Amino acid sequence: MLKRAMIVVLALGLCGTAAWAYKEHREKEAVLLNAESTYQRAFHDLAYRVDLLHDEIGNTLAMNSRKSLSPALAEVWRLTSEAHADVGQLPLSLLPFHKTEEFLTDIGNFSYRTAVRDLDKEPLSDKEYASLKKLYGQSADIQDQLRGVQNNVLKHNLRWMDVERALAQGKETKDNTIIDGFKTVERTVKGYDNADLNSPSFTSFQNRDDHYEHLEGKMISKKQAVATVKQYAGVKTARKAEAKPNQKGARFSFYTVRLKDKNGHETTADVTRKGGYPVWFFNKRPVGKQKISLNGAQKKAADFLNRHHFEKMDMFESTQYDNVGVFSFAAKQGNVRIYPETVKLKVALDNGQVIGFVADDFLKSHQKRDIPKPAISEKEARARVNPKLDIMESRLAIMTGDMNREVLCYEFLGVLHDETYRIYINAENGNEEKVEKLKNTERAYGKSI
Amino acid sequence: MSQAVYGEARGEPYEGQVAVAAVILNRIDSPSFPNTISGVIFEPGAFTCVSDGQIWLAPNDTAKKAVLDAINGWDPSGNALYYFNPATATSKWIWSRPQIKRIGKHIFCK
Repeated sequence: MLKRAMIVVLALGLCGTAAWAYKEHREKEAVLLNAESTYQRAFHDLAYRVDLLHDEIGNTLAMNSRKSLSPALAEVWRLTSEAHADVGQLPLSLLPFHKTEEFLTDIGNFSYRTAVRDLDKEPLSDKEYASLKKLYGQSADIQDQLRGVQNNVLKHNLRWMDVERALAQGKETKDNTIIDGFKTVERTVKGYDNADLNSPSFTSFQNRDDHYEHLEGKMISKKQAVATVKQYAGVKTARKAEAKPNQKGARFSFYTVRLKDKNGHETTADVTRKGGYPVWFFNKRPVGKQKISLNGAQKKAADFLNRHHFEKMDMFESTQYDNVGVFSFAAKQGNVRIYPETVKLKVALDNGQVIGFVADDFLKSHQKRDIPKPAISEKEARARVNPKLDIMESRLAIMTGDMNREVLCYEFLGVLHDETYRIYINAENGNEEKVEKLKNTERAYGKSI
Repeated sequence: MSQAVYGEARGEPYEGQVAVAAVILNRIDSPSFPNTISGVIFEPGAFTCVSDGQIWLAPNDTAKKAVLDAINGWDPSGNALYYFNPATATSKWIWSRPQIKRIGKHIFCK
């Protein structure tokens, strides 16, 4: 009797477990299918958009009038950005697919530039037309290859989840149609030479020197690097100090310096080896209760800059986070503010010490500039500003405009509907280069960032 | 974004956390990556903390401050686009990238 009861109980238990396992299995399947569908969607979207892209580039080739060309180019631009987003949703991060993404970005930038241009005044040049024609051919290749992959995916019911697994396990030798297909696309794009898409007249950051080649000064030693950081960070005696050189892939040579002051608080910094300029530093000490105002801290920041040969800089932005003030300063040449040359400082509001500093932008772009005389007067520029704006401040400034060109502008700071805006009017032709809404001075930590 | 930094780099030195945030921002600027913060973070397989769910941990104040500093322009990574932990990295490919520097347990590379 007991035996039979046991059998019944165990059998019921087994059924229960089986039912539970089946349910779990179904749920897992559902989740996997869901993920698979998102991948499939991104993939087919990509194939479709590259299709459209090819057609649309073809259309622009056939067009002649500005009226139809500009919207068509804008459409190309939109399609490239969507295709780019599709690529970003596929599990390809372990597969080098960057050339294809860059290719899409290049087409996008090219079409954007030409779409926003006034094509009546400045029609497509022969060279640009040739580039467009080349892009048409190239996009056809990619379209073909993607279609091939798509065909295989549909015919053999291939799953992206398998691709993801294969890539994650590093078994790339295994025959995988999708992976092979994407590799072929990447190889094809690698063969393209689209240097002319970024012809010199459009070069971005023409005045920027990412490798800090123009920096003056001698190569410094590790010891000198430590001394520089001590001096900048205001650490008199260091309990521990070390300087490590950069590795091979860096864009310029630097030392990373780490100091421990007598209280055990750490300061870290990067210092260029040539000239010994600090690129950034952090003093990681905890900051106590606020004792000085943001205004007081600003003076401390300005003093700090003066002491360290960053003279004549204008403060243009200040923010407070907890007990730390963050200030941005821009360089000045004559009476022109140079926005590309900025440094930022963090000032502790307990005692006014500078606990953070970054000069990357400044070091990249600092130079003596030939600033042209403005072709229009400030009054003329003012007339170009939205008349509803209540102007509080104005000055001449060099800023980075569209396509990353440096432009001499009249800058107007004004208020409209309780919001502060910075508006730049090109000092040469009166175009409105940029309108910027300023953030509120204080931002709460509670907001998600 | 601070969740991603916390999930990826808690326990790393402060500048290591700022560097991870800076890598996310550098990727947005790069033509080979998506153009939004969430696009970069949720790119499949891009960040391990997304794959293993650690991104959903509540971030601490340090991670938030690190993100703010990165947004304000501090980039201790030296313009890196990738980083990896040599002890746990599974991909061979990542070793082929030119390395810039090491912060804590992470190697940052181009």
